[in-house]
Amino acid sequence: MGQYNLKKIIKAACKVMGAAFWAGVSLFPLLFSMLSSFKDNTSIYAAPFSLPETLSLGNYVYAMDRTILLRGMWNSLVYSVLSIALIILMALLVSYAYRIRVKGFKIMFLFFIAGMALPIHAMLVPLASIISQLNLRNSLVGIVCVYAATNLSLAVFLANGYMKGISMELDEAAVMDGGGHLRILFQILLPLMKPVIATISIMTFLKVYNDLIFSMLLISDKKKAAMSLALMAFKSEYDINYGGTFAAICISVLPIVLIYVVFQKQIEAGLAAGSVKG
Amino acid sequence: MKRNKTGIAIMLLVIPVLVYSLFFIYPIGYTVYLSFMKWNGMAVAKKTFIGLQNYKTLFSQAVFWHSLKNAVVFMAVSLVVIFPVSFLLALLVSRRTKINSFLRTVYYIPTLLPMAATGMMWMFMLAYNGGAVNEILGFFGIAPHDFLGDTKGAIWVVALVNAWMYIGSNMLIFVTGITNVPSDMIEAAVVDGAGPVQRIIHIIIPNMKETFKVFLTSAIAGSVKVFDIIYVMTDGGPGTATDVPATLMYDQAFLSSRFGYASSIGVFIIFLSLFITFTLNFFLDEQEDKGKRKKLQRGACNGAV
Repeated sequence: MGQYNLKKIIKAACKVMGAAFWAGVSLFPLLFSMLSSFKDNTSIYAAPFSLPETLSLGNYVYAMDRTILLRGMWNSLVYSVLSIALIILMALLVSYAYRIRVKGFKIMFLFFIAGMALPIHAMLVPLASIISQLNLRNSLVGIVCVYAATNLSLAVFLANGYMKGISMELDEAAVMDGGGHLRILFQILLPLMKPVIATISIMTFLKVYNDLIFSMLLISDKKKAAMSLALMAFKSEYDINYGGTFAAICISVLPIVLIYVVFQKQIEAGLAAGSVKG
Repeated sequence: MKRNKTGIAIMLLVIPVLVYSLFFIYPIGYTVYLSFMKWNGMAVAKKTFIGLQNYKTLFSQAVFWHSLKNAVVFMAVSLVVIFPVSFLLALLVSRRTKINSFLRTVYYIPTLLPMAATGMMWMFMLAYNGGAVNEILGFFGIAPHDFLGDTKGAIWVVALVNAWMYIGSNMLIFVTGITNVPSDMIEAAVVDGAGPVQRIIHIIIPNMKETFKVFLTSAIAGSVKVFDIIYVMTDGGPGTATDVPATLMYDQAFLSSRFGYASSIGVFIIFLSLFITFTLNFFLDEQEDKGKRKKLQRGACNGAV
């Protein structure tokens, strides 16, 4: 009996150690960045793990005042919000067109979700020249449309799946009352779809806020640069100020971490749904 | 009424079709077209049709084959590191308790971070001089190593950083798979006296085939499309040691102005990732069907006895 208990204790200890070890590995880079963000270049390199001598916010002031970081974060936020609005509108329209059962629409639906299997990198080469030809370089409209188009498929997949679960009787009752299609979609279905809309919004936000490649390709005006580019600028443009760079990293991930803490459920739901197909 | 419905559907679809086609589907088609052309990317410059020349050049370049080899490194790390670690973590935190939900949150954080931030954090931590990783290794008496400057090893290091990022999301996918295993099957196994390891091998793993299929397909097809992490951490360097197909394509187009040639790499990426997705799905479905047929046969035999 004693031996059995010992075995159990060892097993439990292994589990706890494994779980704690990976928690450490997961958080280490962020914690290390936070630690370094309070130190200057020499002490970061001479003693990476020493505690900062003073709790100086100088690096944060530098990152916020002397660089385009905050500007980039604001731009990314604007791009995200507009892309989310456009994606939700389009996903609702496509799902509703599917709902009213027009013959031959199945193929249209497949067309819209095909994007989940297509690699976005395969379109980068012509995209730059198409955008230039349309005069959409450095334009808000251009980049928002690209974000919306490349993230539409998952949103359509999710919205359609959710809309299918809503009883058609609601639509029929609304038609009896003399409601048009737009009224059915936006006043009856939309309020019922809040959970899936929340999931789509957050998934899109993470994609757009974290995006690197499209902002690199479509935006050359520094005032319109996205967060990723503003952050990458620390690597090349300023004399490398390591403390400042670490401070910038901490500032840039803050919105993401906050959003995750608040919307954990929606993010996990979106991930689970997205993993079913693609 | 019926024509009316079609008309309405068309009206509803005008904006989505326009945006989705113009900014996603059309450029992909245009990549295919450009891959048969010689073009320097200037709007005024002429595009010359050169047939399959771009592809011939591509397949004769050592750099290209090397970039494919690097994509294979990402696949290998997915299978050997991401898969077992995320599955073990999923087993560890699958039960619904407060502490497990906290751990899941922590494990998932790396997946959420912007690639630019992740790449830069790890770049600094892996630095030869004063990097945190070398400092830790030094503590155990291991000599410092120039992780990202080593032509042979750098790709493995970047692939491991990539694994660090994606273990969290795959862990969550596996947790969903584990929770979907019918609980009466697990209870039945407990009644039959199966220990935890036996339960995992005989009940949980066979019931998670669908989840594993999703993992395999997205991990292997995803390895062909890697771009951001390489671009941020090494930009293909040292030299071209860590170039993957997508970074090669980017450099050929936007640094060397060989848009036609770069497009042929783009087409190759589309082709390979679709090919992998479909073949794997087909092959794994087939396996499953075989398994089902076997089970049915066995069932039939049992019935006969």
